[in-house]
Amino acid sequence: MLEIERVQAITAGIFRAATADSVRIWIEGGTRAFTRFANNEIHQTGEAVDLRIAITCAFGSRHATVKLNGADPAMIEAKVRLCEDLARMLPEDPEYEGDLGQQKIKKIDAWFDDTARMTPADRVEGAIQIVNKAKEFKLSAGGLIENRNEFTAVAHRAGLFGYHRRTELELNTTLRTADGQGSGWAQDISTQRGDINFALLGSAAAEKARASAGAKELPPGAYTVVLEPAAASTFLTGLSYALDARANMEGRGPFSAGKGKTRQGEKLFSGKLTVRTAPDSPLLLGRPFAPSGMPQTRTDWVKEGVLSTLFVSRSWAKKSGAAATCEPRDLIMSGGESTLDEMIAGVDKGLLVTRFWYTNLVDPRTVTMTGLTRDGLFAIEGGKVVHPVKNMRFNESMLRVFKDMDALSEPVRMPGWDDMRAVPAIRVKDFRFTSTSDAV
Amino acid sequence: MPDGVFNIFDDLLQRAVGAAQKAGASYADARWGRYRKQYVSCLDDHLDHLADDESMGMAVRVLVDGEWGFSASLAATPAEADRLAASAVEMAKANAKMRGEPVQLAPIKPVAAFWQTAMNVDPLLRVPLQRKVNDLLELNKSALAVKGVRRAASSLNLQSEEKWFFSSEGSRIEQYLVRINPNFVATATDDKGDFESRSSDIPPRGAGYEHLEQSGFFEEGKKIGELAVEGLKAKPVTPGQYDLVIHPNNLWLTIHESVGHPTELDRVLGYEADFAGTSFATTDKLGKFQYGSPMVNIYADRTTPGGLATVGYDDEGVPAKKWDLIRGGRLVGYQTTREQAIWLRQKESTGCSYADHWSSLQFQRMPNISLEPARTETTPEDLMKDIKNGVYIAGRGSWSIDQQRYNFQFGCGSAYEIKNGKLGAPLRSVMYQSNSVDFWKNCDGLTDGRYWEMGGTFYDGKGQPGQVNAVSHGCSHGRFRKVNVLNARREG
Repeated sequence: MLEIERVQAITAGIFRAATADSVRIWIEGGTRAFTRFANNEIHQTGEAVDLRIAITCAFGSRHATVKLNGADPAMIEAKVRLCEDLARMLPEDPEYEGDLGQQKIKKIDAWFDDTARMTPADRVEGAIQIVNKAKEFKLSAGGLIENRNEFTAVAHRAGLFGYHRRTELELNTTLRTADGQGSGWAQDISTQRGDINFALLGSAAAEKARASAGAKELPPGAYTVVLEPAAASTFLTGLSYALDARANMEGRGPFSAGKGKTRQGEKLFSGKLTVRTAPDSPLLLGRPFAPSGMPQTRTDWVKEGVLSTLFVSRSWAKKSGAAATCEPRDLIMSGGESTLDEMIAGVDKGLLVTRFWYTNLVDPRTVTMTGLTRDGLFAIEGGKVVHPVKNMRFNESMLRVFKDMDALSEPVRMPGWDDMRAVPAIRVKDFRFTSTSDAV
Repeated sequence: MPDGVFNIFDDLLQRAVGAAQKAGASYADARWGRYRKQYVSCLDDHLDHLADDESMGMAVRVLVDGEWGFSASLAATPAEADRLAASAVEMAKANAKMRGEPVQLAPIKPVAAFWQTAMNVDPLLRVPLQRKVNDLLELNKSALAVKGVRRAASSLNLQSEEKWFFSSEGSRIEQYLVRINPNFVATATDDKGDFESRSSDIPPRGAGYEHLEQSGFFEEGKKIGELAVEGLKAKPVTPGQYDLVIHPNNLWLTIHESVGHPTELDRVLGYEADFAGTSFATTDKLGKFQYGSPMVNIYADRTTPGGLATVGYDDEGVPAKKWDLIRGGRLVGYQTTREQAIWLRQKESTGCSYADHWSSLQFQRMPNISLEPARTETTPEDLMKDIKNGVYIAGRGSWSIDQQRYNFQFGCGSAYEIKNGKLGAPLRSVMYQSNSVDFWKNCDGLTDGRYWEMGGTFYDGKGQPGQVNAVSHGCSHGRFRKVNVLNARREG
């Protein structure tokens, strides 16, 4: 784990060694440690320490990137020479965007010593709490407890510098009934160890496992669904895929309007939908800068149903003349005021979905996604959860889900793809399931 | 970097293993690795990205009183070797509070060996960068020359693993693995905001740069560009039940998902239940369960020439081998590591232990898994000739399968009608959905060995924290009766 002063010394050394016009550096590293358990026993455990440096050198618009691990000055010097040699021999890239000067990067305090001091024995204690819950109900528990103490830093020769360090503790757990007919899941992630209540999460997964056993088959078709946050997150991922300004302006995106135009500024979604980047939210405490070096400032991508911003990369900004934006990472989908129970109470006939599995994009034009329910699908009748249902596959469009949703809960934190996000439960009418699955 | 400073086997690995034994380990192994990646991508008429990545480090894995411990670090020094051994032992001891059945390992014969991927031209070390960039730019140019193509994106992902392995049982193995992954996508657009993309299906390989030339990858531009334009104009498929003929460049992924993952023994026994899932192919079915029709013979093979999972030895020092998973349509085997072979009371591991990086813990990963072709002469035309109303499927699309590997749904690159035994008009937005066992039981035709080819992926994901595995799957065309076909857009 490198402190800011040591990182600055490394970046200064790279700038000294390099002769290129543009020099961009990304450094990340620290310790990752994990304990895995399954069948109520620990079966894997490990810890790894690493330090990774990526150096981009450019002469005019000829650029190359080299990556290495370790901070040995001789090795860094050799890699800078290699990077410059490669850059010189490559053709020009008219879209190379060059360095960023000094930027206003908000400091986000995401380091907590208590989390940083976690030991293998602490992880074992967490696993024991889950397994005890499993044994109480004759269930089998599996899961992952991972703690990460890491930093990232960005520096450009023209003046940009950013440093962020973060602690993180994550728990995922699945509890299954002995006959394999019920399965429940729970997850939490936080920068602060005290936020993760192993016993409570174990109880939640146990409850789901027991409640999901003995599922009845319902025919595929359109149902009103209440998607718990982990399930709703699937469609937030779909939205984040779709926000690229270039793809949409070039006619390759779902918000393309043809002839170089996009649908930015149009009300395309339910007025209840607001999605913004907010790494400084206490729910997220994410990284305040993007890999490009752009500060991750608060940005509304969708505001009260209006597609308000498309992601403009620095290279597309250079080419199109539009202003570069931050990246659609560390997303918060603003919630409503309904509780999950209230949302269920408003459904006469429908389904409650815990989460989806193996989701994938099947049609990029309509952002139609597929996947299967997992770890708890339940029938709702007359505003009440009445019985578990066999898992089903959906094929549904993100555009339609966010247009037709009519209720939201408060968002809860969860891991994203190399970032954090906060997502509410949502209620959607006519959500399409296309086949059933025997999987539990 | 230890070369020339420390002797990797003696000063680092043997030392770490010795330190672990001294601290109480009954078994220990240590690995040092140098992982290189070069990624070159070109967008339309210019270089988009070039990254040359090198990462080195070492790892120690120990067994103490039947519990595993593992620790890894970038710093490869004798002092760090000692620290890693102590850290791994401490971890194993901490786990004793939740002790289950003590881990036992199936026996192996220790060897001192060197093995490397068969290749003519090392793509990382022997091919000038300008040549790679020029080859990709020419590829893009030929696609962009096709009327209607708006975007051409090509890339080469080149990887090598230099791995040194030493165990307390005396194995001393050095390996150099090389893989090459070409990618090319052309996108056609119209003026109404619609678009369609097609990808090259030249597969990744455990091979040198010669693979790209021999396979004709750099000549794919015009063909793929035309397929994208054709796709944009193709008629939408009408959902329903059809007989399918599936090209090997699509069927490989179906094999991966519906046979590869279900026969991973750790999944079968619940060890991946929290993430990757479990499996319908449970051990009570071994030797009895009819997984497919009698013509379905599927084998695992870590020796297949050019296979992405082809090695000399796995990451426990077990020599590469070939074995059956499905014979005559019946489930007959699983993928195992040394620990897992004991669970099945087998005498030896099938050699499926793999770590994707020096910093990753080795665990059970998929070998190359392939479908045998028909033994009698059969062409794709033969498979189509009795189909009145079917669909011909080719190329990669979207894919998804449930966590026990029953219900799958796969897209494709290109699809065509089969009308009265002949290939017909192109179709758009085709996906097929089935249950793994129903699908393989409804396989009633395969083309012969002339049509057998390998597909593969660099990104077979599994484990927590997630690891990737590169793996190949070979097959010829298959015919499958009465499969559900969906329209991706209509479904949306």
